[in-house]
Amino acid sequence: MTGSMILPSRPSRRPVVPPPMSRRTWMIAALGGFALLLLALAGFVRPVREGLRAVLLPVVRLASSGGAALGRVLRLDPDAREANERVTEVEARLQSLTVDYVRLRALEEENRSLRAQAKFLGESGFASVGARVISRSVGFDTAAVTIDRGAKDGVEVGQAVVTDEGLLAGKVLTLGERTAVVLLVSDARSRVAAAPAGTNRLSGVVEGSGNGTARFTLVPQAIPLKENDVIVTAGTEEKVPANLVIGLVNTVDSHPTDPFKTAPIEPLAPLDRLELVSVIIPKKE
Amino acid sequence: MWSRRIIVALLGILVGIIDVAVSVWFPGPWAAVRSVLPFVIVLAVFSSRERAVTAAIAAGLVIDVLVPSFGLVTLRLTMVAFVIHALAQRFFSNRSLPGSFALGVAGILIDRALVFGVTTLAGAWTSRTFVTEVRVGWFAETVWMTAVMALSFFGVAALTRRFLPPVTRR
Repeated sequence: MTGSMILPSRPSRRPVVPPPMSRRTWMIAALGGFALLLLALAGFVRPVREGLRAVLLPVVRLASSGGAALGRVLRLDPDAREANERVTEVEARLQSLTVDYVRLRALEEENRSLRAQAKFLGESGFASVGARVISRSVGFDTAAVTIDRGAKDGVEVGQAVVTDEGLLAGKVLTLGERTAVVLLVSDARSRVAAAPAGTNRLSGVVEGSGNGTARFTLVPQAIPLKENDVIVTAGTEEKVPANLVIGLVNTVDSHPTDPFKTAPIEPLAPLDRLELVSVIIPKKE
Repeated sequence: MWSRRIIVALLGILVGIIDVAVSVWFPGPWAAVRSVLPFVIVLAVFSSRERAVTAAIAAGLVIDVLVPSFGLVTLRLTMVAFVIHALAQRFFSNRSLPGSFALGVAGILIDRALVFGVTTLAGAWTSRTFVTEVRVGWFAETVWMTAVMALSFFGVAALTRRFLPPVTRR
């Protein structure tokens, strides 16, 4: 049997190359982008942004708590988990004891000076509002988190953010209506007025060094400082109360010819695992 | 079709939320398991430019609104979608596995270059403190992107007739 067999050809599967965008489309896209940039600079985009945040926030809170739980599971194998549970327990005890120690030293200092001058967190006119961390940007020299409290909750730029144990985690950097960005103490741009516990005066500045650490700098040589000293907030910043624990001194770098000494410190707040924090808010009179 | 665009936009929002609120908690190299950039690149390579741009805008808006860093993510992802789609259609072949890998890596390179550019310009134009975007190491991100592109390639090949040659006998 001769002849050829002709089968119906399948439609070609070769992808069709779409035509390039016309010059008019490119111009419209460029003008649209430029207009959007101008609107953003003028502040007209802000209400839209806040509206989007309000819509997304409940879902993001849920996703964030799930992500944090998943992160805890990924972090450890079973043997290491048990060992780290013990370490966490010991760390919690250390943090609690450190906070108690600072309060004790502050009480002693109060008894030595005029009592009317001393203020504690409970008496100093500060309240707190709880917040959940919903997003993080924590890397080598960057450390910032987004929390689900903002201007509507009374949060202001510069306010202190602490953990449940009262350890300083950072300060509010930027603000939205329902969210805020907190710059952690280990961020390279972070600066906190600080002092050794019990001295009750400004002694230096805690600067972030990246990678979860910080340095206590611009400390005059006359100020006594040694390893394992507790560093606290000095209280000289308007929105940051005094005696919030920042961390422990690791070593002291001091040269007799230098007017200041520096001390690397280890922040006590678990900056890589922050989930729930509190924002310290001055009470309105 | 508008229904497909809506689905793509919703998926873009979902992967944006995953990137912002879930992946950020992963420790060590697991932090490379991100969703948005691979999703946009997969759409740009294996689907259409419109869907990739729709996903880029939806996911980028979620990230720009919620993440603490300043990075103009929507603009960056849109540009990545355009460039990768153009490369896939006119330079590489989107019918080969190595081509898919190359497009994935190209997407990472373009995104990182844009991050660097945005960060440098923002630092030069404004004196206020802004938070820079944190990225994981090259190797982890490349491995993850390669895995995603391979899975997507085999998925498209298995589930569609896209890579079947036309058959005509005479």
